[in-house]
Amino acid sequence: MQKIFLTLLASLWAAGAGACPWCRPRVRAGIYTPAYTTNVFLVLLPVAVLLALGIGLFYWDKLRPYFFTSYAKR
Amino acid sequence: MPSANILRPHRTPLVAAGILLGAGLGGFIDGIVLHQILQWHNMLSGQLPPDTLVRAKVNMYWDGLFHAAVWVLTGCGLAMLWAATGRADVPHSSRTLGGSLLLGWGLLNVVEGIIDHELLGLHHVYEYTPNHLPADLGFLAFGLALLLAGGALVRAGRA
Repeated sequence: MQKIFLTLLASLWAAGAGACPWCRPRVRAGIYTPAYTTNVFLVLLPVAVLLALGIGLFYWDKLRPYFFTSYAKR
Repeated sequence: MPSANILRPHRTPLVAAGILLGAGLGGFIDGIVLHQILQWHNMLSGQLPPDTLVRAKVNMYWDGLFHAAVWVLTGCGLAMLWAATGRADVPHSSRTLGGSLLLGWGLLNVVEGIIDHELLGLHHVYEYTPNHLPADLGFLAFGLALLLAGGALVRAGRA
């Protein structure tokens, strides 16, 4: 028990382990490519479709007369 | 008859809230179970296979963006649910809400399955096989089953 405690205590002064310090620039380069905006759009597309559907449905009672009025005027 | 219009029940706000909540929570299930626990795919694993640490971390970024987006879906659903429960014309129906949650989860699977898996090929449900179609179709079939179950439950909530 004493050994475990001393080991844990010693680990507080140990040099911090780097979380892959050499690969961070490569990761950033892999994310922020010229296709970044396209990738954002593609990843968010299904969620955006569902969000539009949900918001449209939530306000459907208010939107429906507007659409019907608009069609009637044409 | 304005008074009759005021008292007429409107279920669409509750259904909309349930759909967004269900889609958001379904997105979390997708991310937690398929991305992280089973590690079957990542958001861009069809284009950038996570076969090195750097590529895995890049995929982790796009997974994070997806999770942030479904968090927004969940938040919007929660706000809509709060707004809907404060309205006298919206019936307080557990079946309608439960069915809408299933509808939302099913819609997420079907919309994401068609757009990401089939049309864009951003990723497939199970990447570690040359034939992606069976798992992709299974995912879509599960989504359709959720839609059918959710629709039935919402219809049952009319009573």
